[in-house]
Amino acid sequence: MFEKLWEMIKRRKEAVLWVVVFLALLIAALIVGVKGNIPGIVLSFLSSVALVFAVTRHWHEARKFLLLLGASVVVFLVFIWLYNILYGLGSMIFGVTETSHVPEFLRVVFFYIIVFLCPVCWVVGVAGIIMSFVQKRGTDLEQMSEEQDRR
Amino acid sequence: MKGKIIRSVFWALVAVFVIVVVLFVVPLFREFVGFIVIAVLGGAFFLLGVALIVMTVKARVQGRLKKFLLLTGASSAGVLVSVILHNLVYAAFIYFLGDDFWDRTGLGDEPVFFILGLIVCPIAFLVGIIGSAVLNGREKTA
Repeated sequence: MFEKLWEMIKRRKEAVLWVVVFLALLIAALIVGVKGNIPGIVLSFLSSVALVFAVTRHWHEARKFLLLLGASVVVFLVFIWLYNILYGLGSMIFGVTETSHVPEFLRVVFFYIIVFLCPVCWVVGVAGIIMSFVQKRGTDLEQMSEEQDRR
Repeated sequence: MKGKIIRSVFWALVAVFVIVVVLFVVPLFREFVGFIVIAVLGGAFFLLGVALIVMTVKARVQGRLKKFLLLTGASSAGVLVSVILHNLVYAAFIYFLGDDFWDRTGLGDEPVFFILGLIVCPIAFLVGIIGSAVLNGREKTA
């Protein structure tokens, strides 16, 4: 099992490196603390950028970025709903001041996804769609000029 | 740099950026800062950025200069987009999660578009204009 894992890490060195960067930044943010702490907020932001970049760094098609944008909007709405439910349930079961560790952990995960990860996905999605159209337009113009040269 | 129009748009962007920085940094000029001034300058910055992207693509600029010009255009257009999205997302969280969401979580404000608009875009803009100007200067001397 470990051999398979090691082989996968070898094959995807760059992706693994970005995931390591993401984890390092996230752990650093958790150690520093995000609540009312600007370095923690910046570290969380950078960790979400690293994670999204790890996934999208080789994408060139507009369709993939469109999917990312759509998925992140849906995930944003679903996780806001889940965060709300969890907060309500936590308040009902444990009281407003008392919280259990499991809902608290889930709330932090949902919070990270809706506040940091989804907005970064929107930006990368829109920028990726525009960039892929710009690249397509560039290649189309090159082809047109080559055709004109041939004539 | 190909085309006089691209050059004009590029230097107009630099001029608007310098005006905005002077208005905010120099205390003497702070009394001129108002909603209309900022709205006009922000709108001009956005439109010039979009114009720079469109013209760079249409003029078939190639190589590193294209990348720097696109970076300049995207970062200048990105400032206004980030400002609008920052306020929209801030309001969306209050709408969905309650008035006290930002205070409860200890963030105080929406972080992603705030960082993008206030830190990432200006730095990317500076990198873009310096890179474009240096490459343009090299082209001229070559």
